[in-house]
Amino acid sequence: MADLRCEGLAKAYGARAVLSEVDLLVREGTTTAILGASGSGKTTLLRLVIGFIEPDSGTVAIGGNLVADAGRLHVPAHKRSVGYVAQEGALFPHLTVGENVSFGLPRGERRNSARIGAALDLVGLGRDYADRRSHELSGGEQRRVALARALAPGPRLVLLDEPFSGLDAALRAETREAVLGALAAQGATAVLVTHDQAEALSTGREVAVLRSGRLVQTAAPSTLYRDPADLDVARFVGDAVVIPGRADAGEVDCVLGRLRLREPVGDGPVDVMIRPEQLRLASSGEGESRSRLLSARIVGYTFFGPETMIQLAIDSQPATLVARTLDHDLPPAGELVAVEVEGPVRAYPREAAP
Amino acid sequence: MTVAGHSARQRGASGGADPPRGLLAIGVVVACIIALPVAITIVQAFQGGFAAAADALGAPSTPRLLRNTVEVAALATPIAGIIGVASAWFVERTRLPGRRIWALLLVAPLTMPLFVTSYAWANLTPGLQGSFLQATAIVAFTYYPIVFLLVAVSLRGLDPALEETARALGLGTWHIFFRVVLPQVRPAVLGGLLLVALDTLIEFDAFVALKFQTFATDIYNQYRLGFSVSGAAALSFMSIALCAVLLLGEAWLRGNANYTRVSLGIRRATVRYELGKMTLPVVAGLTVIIGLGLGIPVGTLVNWLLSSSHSALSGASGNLQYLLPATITSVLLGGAAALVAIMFALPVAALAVRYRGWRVTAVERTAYLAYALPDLVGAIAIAYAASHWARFAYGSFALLVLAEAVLFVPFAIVSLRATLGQIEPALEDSARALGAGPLATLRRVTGPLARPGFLAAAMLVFAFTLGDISTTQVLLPLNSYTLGTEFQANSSSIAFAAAAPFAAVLVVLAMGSAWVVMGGFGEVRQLGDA
Repeated sequence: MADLRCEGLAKAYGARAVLSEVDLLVREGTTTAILGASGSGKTTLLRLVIGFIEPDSGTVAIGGNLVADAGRLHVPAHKRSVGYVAQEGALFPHLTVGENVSFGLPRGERRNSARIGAALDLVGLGRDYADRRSHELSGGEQRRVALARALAPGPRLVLLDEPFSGLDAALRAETREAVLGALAAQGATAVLVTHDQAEALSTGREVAVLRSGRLVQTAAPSTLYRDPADLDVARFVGDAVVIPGRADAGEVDCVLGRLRLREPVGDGPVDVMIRPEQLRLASSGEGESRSRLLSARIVGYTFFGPETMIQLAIDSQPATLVARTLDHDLPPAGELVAVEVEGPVRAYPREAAP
Repeated sequence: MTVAGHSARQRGASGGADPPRGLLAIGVVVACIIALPVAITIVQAFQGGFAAAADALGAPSTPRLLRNTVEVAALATPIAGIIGVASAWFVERTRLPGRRIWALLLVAPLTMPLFVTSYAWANLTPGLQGSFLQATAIVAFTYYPIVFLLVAVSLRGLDPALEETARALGLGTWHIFFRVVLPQVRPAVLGGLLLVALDTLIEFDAFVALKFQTFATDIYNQYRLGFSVSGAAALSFMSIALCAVLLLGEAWLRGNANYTRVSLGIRRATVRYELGKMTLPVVAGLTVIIGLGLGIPVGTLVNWLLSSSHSALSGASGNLQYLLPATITSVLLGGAAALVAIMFALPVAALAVRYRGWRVTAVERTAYLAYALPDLVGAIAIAYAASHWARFAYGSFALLVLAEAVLFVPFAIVSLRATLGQIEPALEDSARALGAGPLATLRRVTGPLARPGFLAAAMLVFAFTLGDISTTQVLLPLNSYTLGTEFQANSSSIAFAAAAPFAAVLVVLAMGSAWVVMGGFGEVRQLGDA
């Protein structure tokens, strides 16, 4: 396996720029998730790396070898040795599972049942799958066969396009485990494209957020979640409570009190971003926290099983706040409770009103 | 945002807006080869000066010829369309007993040599001699299989989930057909109608025994009587203009519709409807269609063979020594033409299915435009080109193969288009990523998946080449003969008994090729039902 390095990648269809100035480094043996809404250009980025399309500018290098250099070099897809798992798997319907898996092997190796079996083992499917037809498989099995097929020839890099989309929750978890297990076992360098933030945060060692054709932030999942580059990223990677505030000497004043900042921000009006799990219902009497205790009225609950979202109303605040808790023993709706903020928060300078 | 995103994804998945340079270059070269006869004809039309061309177009017979041509095309095309779509649906989507046999019999009329059909109708309905009705019936009942074949191939590729969804939404079979199935197979239907209409415009063989006059028959007479090459070329102009109208119309009707399945996972086998009480009426209807399309020419042939007096037959037996060489020549010619036509059609169809833009449209439409030339005119243009610029090729078998391939390439394009369009681009993408180059992808993925389309393309070109006389007569190497030219030579001297064996072999060969196509269908069916 090898590392992937994209520099200054840009692509436009007609007048519409789909990707601009994309720099991406995926280290050898790691998985990077590209997270973007539909239309953000993530599929285009994937297709540029595989070699299905040529960039308008910029370069792609795999393991230090240039495979695309706009206008000068374009190694065609079939010579890049890049594994590709298409959305929904794209198994060849005229071939058996075994024939699918051995498709990319050299001619003499295609009947090597040991090699096919090993590839199927890798993704947690039995060797008896080799003789099945692709339409006899479940959606999750199809993805796993597609990964086995992509890994079998020993590619330098694997690209996965929405590998878990359209699977139900249980199948999704199972398929995810199998796919990540296989990638780890191979020490694969992998790029995974998804629009699902939970999937991106849980699968990538790094997550790159793509928005309107630009990479706005590339970071470890925890950094991305706690310290997003801007408000849009903050909202995209998770639930966010955003309230107005004023930054002042490394702290911020808002209706929830004077809060510590994770990153310094220039003094002046800001938007304060708080993750719902940072909002805690405090029993009166405690309150070691630095924030002033604030009373709020419980508007309602949304129950998710392990966690519960609490909608809170504060008199001076027009919008409701949302808190997330793992507690199950909660006061009834309508009650007044004390709210505190745990840990430092993030604030972003507010754009001057137009 | 969502909408833009969706279209971006589709564009990404279907290969990007710009066609690869290599493929486009090949497409342009093919289009130029196909368009060459048209260009030569246009030059020829004005060799005698504008005045001569205007004279030819302004002849008193022109309005009548125009009306005849347009009327037959306007009536025969929709009839062929209805028969073709309905029969394809019954064969592909219902539990009609004996579907494989029906499919074979329904395709067979197309493979009948038209000069045989023409003589047959002329003999059978002397009262209608030269009438509009007779001409329309021949065209409709001979050419509906074009629509049938394309729609059948297309129906086979439909995702049953769409129909199931429609049923779940409360639609009955009838509504599902019109609101879900028909829109899905629209490209195939329109492609088929286009070919039927184009065929009518340039048809000569079918009308020759009827003495029904259209532009095409008049052009033939101009050439035959040695009247004026440029006059005939000028008349071909009219045919090219009508063809251009049809091409634009079809492109407009089809719009930018893209019915490629986009990532739906593996498709399940198709569902078939029970016919129940409708079985008998459907069988009766199909029998009538086949009786008119196939029964009349075959019956006439058999009649010729049986009713000829013994002495006529013994006189004819002298001809039988030519039967085997003629058969070999015809098969070689048809096979080679089919191969070349598919080679020409593949890049054009691939461009048309996978990419968009004016260059793609230009290549694709140009490939059809050549079909506007009555085949005799096209053949003479090719002969002219060879005698001027490639004397070594003049009078060679290869030139004849090229001419037949150029003439019938639209059938190959339409057949391939219909099936290639139903192959998920992601499958080809996956093959490329697994290290298969463009040719290996074609051989290992696209080819097997588009097998029904390739077979249909090959069969159509093979059968049409077999049944062709005009082009063959112009370009056939000296001292060679085919089944068609032998039939023609004998039938023109009213030695039907002598002509019949050649026609019979033609019919058997054509049916054989239809059988191969249906065999291909069978394999795909097993794959789906497994």
